[in-house]
Amino acid sequence: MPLRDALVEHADRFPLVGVVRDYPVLRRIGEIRHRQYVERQGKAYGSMVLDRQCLIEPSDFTSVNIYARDARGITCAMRVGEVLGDRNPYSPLFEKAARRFGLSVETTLTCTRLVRAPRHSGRHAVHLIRFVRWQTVHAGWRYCIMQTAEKLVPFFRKFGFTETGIWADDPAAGRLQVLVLDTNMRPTQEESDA
Amino acid sequence: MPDCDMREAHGLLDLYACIDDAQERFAGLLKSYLVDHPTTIDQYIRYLSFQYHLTKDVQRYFLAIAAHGDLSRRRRLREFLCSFANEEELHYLVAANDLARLGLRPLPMPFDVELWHHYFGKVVVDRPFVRLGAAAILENISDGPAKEWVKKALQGSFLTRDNTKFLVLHQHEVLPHGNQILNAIEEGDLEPHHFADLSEGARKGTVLYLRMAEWAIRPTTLASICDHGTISLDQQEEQRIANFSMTELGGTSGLQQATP
Ligand SMILES: [Fe+2]
Repeated sequence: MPLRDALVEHADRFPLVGVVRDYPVLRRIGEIRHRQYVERQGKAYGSMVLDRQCLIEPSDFTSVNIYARDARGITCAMRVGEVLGDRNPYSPLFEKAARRFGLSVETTLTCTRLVRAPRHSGRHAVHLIRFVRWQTVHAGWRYCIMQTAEKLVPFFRKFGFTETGIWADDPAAGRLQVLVLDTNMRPTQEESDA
Repeated sequence: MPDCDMREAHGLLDLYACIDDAQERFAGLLKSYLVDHPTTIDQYIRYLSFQYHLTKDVQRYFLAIAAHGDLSRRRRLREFLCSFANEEELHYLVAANDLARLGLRPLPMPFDVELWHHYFGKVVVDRPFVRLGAAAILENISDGPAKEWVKKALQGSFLTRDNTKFLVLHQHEVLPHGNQILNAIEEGDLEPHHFADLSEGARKGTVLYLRMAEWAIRPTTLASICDHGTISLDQQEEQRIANFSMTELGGTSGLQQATP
């Protein structure tokens, strides 16, 4: 099942989680990314859209962006893609991680560009991770490769992710670590995973 | 008779002048942006979005023109309009499906498209040739001096076979449709007041179309202050868009063979 068909909103179980299907929403996420990555890093970064204050990349149009929201709008967002066939410049890196840890690339998805609105603590990221796991395991995906900033590594460990030692210097976000998760085809995390 | 022919020739020349002017202005608009920058994906999303709203239910206009009493003795023109309606009817789904391949739905209807439908929807009932004049513009505006700039606009690393079906379809069509519509008008044995309406519609169509084009090219142009929220589509329409296949276009055409 294509990722776009697997990642559909599930209002009962995940009422806070939305799937991006409209450009104004993607643009808002691009603005949050720009603030979090580009402005803070102080690096010039070429965006692919006219709006200079907005970080949108080719793989946003081949992957699925998801977000959590409250009454004031988007609280955090993340991009979910496939290892193969994505236009992500990190595909070779992710393939390397998949090979090294014996993950089948056909059932491995990638999570990148996790951001939070400046006004928000970011605790809604929990909903995004649970949503992705629930939806994609039911659709046949098993593994997840997460690309994240060093300081969030302990946060992801709590969800069963393990470190790979693989990292990359991202032009916008700085050094990013690669973590992997084996869901064992369980759509929710069990205590033993933690 | 010669007097009548003269008047007809004058009417036609006026319509051609409107088309030339529209092409010049369209070329100027595209050039003003493209001379310094390549097209970006947000411009392309805006382009496909306005085309979706502009061309959805386009068959209603052509069938409304065909339905007018002035076409009761102009049956070839009427037949042409019916075939044209069939051929164009599903094109809006091509635009929406191109967007779906980018993971997106169309943007909400831009204000200038709303104005287009309010104006032409009303005027087409009693003065159908006003709308036909606008169609003559839509089918010809990308030609002439605009052609090289349209070609330049349609280049971008984000363009793939899957998300450019609307463009490819209309690039192939530009010649036949533009000429076909003008031939149908020329052979329609029309009267001076018809030509006056054709030119009026051509001019007004140019104004609105160029405003839509500007809305796509410059996302912060005046009309963008009306951009708000996201589109609401019913489940059925979502399904039609998602499941659309180019084979659905085949067999509807009386004007030309469907491209394979
Ligand atoms: Fe068309």
